[in-house]
This record gives sequence, C-alpha cells and structure tokens, in this order.
Amino acid sequence: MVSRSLRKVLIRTGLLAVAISLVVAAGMALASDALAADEENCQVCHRYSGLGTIDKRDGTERVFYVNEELFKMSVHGKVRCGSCHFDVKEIPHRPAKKVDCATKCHVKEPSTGKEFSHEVVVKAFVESSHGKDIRPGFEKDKPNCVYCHQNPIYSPIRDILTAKKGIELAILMRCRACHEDKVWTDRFYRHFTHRMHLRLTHKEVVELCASCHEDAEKMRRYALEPTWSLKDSFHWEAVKYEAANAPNCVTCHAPPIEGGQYTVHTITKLATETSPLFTEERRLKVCAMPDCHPAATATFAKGKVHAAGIKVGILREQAEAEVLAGEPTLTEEERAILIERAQAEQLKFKIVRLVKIFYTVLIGVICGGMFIHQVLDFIATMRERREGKH
Amino acid sequence: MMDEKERKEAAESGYYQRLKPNEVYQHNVMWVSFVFLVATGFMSQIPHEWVEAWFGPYRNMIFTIRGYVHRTFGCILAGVSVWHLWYVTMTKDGRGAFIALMPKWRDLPDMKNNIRFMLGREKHRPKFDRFDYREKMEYIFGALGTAIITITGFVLFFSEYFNKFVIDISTVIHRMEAILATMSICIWHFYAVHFKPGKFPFSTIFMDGKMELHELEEEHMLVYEEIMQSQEGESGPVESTEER
Repeated sequence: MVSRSLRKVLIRTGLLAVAISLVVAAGMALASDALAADEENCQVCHRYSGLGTIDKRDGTERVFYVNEELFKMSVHGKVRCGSCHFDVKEIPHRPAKKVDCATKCHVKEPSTGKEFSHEVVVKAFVESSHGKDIRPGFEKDKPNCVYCHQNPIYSPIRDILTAKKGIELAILMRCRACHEDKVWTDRFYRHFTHRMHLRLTHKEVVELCASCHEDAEKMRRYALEPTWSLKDSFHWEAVKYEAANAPNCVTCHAPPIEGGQYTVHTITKLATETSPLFTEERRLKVCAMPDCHPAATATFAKGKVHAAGIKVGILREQAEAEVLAGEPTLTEEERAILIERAQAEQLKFKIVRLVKIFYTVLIGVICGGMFIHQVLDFIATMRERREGKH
Repeated sequence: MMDEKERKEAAESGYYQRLKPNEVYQHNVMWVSFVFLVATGFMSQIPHEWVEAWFGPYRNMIFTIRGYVHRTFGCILAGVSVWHLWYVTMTKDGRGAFIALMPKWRDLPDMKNNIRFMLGREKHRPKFDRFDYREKMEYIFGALGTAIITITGFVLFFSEYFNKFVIDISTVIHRMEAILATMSICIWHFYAVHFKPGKFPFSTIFMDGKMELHELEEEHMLVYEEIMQSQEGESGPVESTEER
C-alpha cells in the first residue's frame, strides 16, 4: 500500500519536473493570452449575488452571480466571458444563448499554438450513445456538457502521503525560483496537478452516471436495464472506500487500454462494435487491467454485470414498438437469439434472488426462534434464582 | 465418558475439565478470527455515509488493510477447521467430544421437557449430558456454516477463476451466512456464556476449560452424577451441592 503510493508520488513528481522543464517554451505561447478574464467588465453586474431569474417555461431558477475569485481559480478562469457568450455584445444585454462548448475560445493551446476548442471532444461525444441514441421526444434525457462538467476549481494533489498543509506552496516556491511570472507559474502548476488526479471521486462518478442509469423508466426507452445491482457488488464496496483501484463506471466503459482510444466521450452500448466490451476478448482485457484483475480468466470475464432481471421484458417491448412503427432494427432470428441470451441471464438472476430470499426467511425463523428460546430461558433462570436454585 | 482418573480429579479439585487444552486453543483461535472476520467483513457493508464519516481521508488505506486482514483471518479460520477435523478424527479426546456432540434420540425429549420447564409446565429441568441439545445444535450448525462460508470465501478470494453466476451466488451466500452466524452467536452463544444470569460478564471456561461442579450440576446433571457416584463407591454417599 505505502510502496504503491510512494511510487505514484515519485511518478507524479517526475512528471511535474518534466512539465516544469517545458515551462519556458509554453510560457512564450501563453504570454499572449495573459488577459484578465473580466476585461469586458461583466462583473459590473454579475458580482451581485442576488442576480438571477426564474425561467418562465419550466420554472427553473437561474443564478447569474459569478464569484470572480472562484472563477479565476477555475479551469476556465483565463477565458474571457465573451469567448463563450459571444452573442453578448453590449451592456446591458439580452438573454445570452446557451454556450456551445465546440466554440473556439481565443486561448492558445500551448502544445500546438492553435486556437483552443473542445470541438474534438464534442464531435466524439455526438457519435457516442449519449450523443446520438436519444429518442425523439425525450431530448431532456441527453446529458449535455455541463451535466457532468461544472467548470471545477483547480485542486491540488490529494493523496494520503501528500495531503499535508503547505506542500503546494513549497513546490510553487521551487517553481518560482526560476520562473519570473508568478501568475503564469501558479496557473501552470495548478493546471498540471489538477489533471493528475480524478476531478470527481469514484463515488461521485458512479452517482453521476446512476442519476440517469438507475432510472428504470428512462433506461427502458433505450432497451437498457437499470444499474441497481451495482450497489450489491464488490466494485461498489471499493468505490465507497475510494480505494486507489476502485472501478467507477468509466473504468470499464472507457478503459485505458488499446492505445487510449476509449474515452468517456465515446461511450457506446455494449452491442456496438466500437464498445470496449463488445467481444469477450475485449472484456477480458478490461477485467485484466493491471490495477483490477490481472489474473482474470476468460470464464471470469463472462456474464452480465448489471443484470436487473427485466431484460427479456424490455427486449419484447422494444420489438413490439419497432413492429408497430414499421422500423424493425433486427431480424426475427437476431432478436430470438438476443431474447434467448437474456432469458438465460434472467434465470441466473432469479436463482441468486431466490437464494437471498431463502436466507432472509431462514435468518428470520432461526434468529426469531433462538431469541424466543433465550428469553424463556432467561425468565426460567430468574425464577430458579428466586427459588434459590442458582 | 470420563475415565476413573478424570472423575477422581474432578471430585477432588471441585472442577470438571469440560474442554481439553487442545479444545481451548482451538476455540480461542477461532473466536479471535471470528471477531476480526465479522468486523472487517461488515465494514464492506456499511453505508457510504458512515464510511466517509468514520474513516475520512484514510478510507482508501483502511479498505486495503481491511481486505488483507479479512483474507488472513479467513485463512486462519479455515486452518482451525482443518485442525479441528484432524482433532476429531485422529485423537481419542477429539473422537470422544465429537461423538458426544452428535445428536441422539434423547435430545428430542430433552428439548421438549426443557421448553416445558421454561414455560413453567415442569418442575425440574431435564438432566443433560456433557453437551445438551442447545450446544449440539450450535456445534452442528456452526460447523455447517463454517464449511459454507469458507468455501464461498475461497471462491471470492480466487474469483478470477469463476464465472459471474458462481461469484454472485457465492457473494450472496457468504454475506447471508455471515449475518446468520453473527446473529446466532450474539443471540445464542453470547446469552449462554455471557448474559445468562450467573454468567455475566463471561464464563471462564474458554480460558482453562474448567467448569465448577455446582455449575456442572445445574447444567449437565448426568455428568455430575457420574462423578459423584464414582466417589460414592469410594467414600460413601456424596450429597449434591443443591441439597447442601
């Protein structure tokens, strides 16, 4: 445990050293972007904490207050307001359009010197299940960028060995010994250390995904089972404790294997060829990742992980709906195979559930009986003591 | 059955050697393992809010240690089971204890009469032998439960070699057996050796295996009578402590 953490710290420190050696080159590129975020004076109004409105359409409360200090510390702290809200040209302004994360935000990407944009990520996301498989009429099911990302504040490395006060400043002082621009140096350090660990904890990732994937009705629309069973698994136990190698949803659905081609923005259904879990060979690779189950066998990698015992019904409903709409996506044979597999998995699920019910009844009967027996014995023993027998 | 020497020793010392030293060692290793297994096992089942509140930033390290401790004591418990199997098959004392722990027809009327006594429908408790029906049930179901939880525990320990269905079944059985075992020990065993009037805070038999004769007379009258009758032959009739 300690040696692993130490190794991680050493790797991180090494990476930091490499990064700092790139500072001189990157600094040249970034220097031209060293603009204050609020050079457009948006804070004239948005500094007031009461600034907000209620959306007339759905009653949603919208807060327009921006804490400048916090914003400057955030990952978008160097981006001007107008770079994202580019339709705002004057003050006071009309309601701004929704931000498009594929916009070029006039910040130079230091590794290439090109104008920075999230366009590549957005393109990948649009092709993923979360981007394209949304049923007509249920556009709200689609998670947009801010559903998962909330312009987080830069945070230092959190680790059991490094979580002590003063470590950040101590490292920064070393950086500042060579790099004159204090603001740039602090920012580079924070950016780098921020990306070295997960922004969300494992539990936060699971809860974020579960906020939709535990909704049976919503999942039914996409022929998916809800992920209720996750919280019965050993994976969840590791997540609860934030174990270093805890598997959150992304670990398996966007695993760091095969050259890093799977990302959280390219997640697709398991039945899609581009899924990292499409074939048994790929599943085995995912299970056998070095931090997970390196000794995993092909047998181990088989089986349905998120079974909820309702897949057969979902598939039949889907088939009926497609026939009614006149747009079947599968042949009769393909569907029969799918349903047969689902029935086999459902039977296993039912057996496990029956065992649980059996034990629940057994525990109730045995422990209830034992309790009554011991209470009677207690009363009888007290009676004996009163009679002077004990 | 005791031999003559044991009966004589018991009568002279005022103590009956209820558990042999080997049995005391087995029991002590087992209960220490059990306590650690219960603590580290149920740690994985507590709500995540408690995990954060109790362990804070150290929960990652604690989870790792928890896993190692649980597996280590699981192996120790499995080792004690093997030790016990060797003991009950290869030693005279072990075979004797094992035979005495097996259910007999007279346990049924004993149980019936004891329940009738507890309900106030009999004047006296039945006369129990070395192990009464409660202890036999505890031993037999305890052994069965240990076997089940050990097998499923090893499936989970080496889960990489089993399929999802076997792992799921083993997980459910392991957890439910653990709940059953813990509750049984708390209700059945803890009452018998800790909370029963006259036993609090605990019976000392687990330390040296010795039971005082007056306690033996109350709980295992047949053994007491056997000791007393043997002495009667040597030095005339011996009164029971109850009568005294």
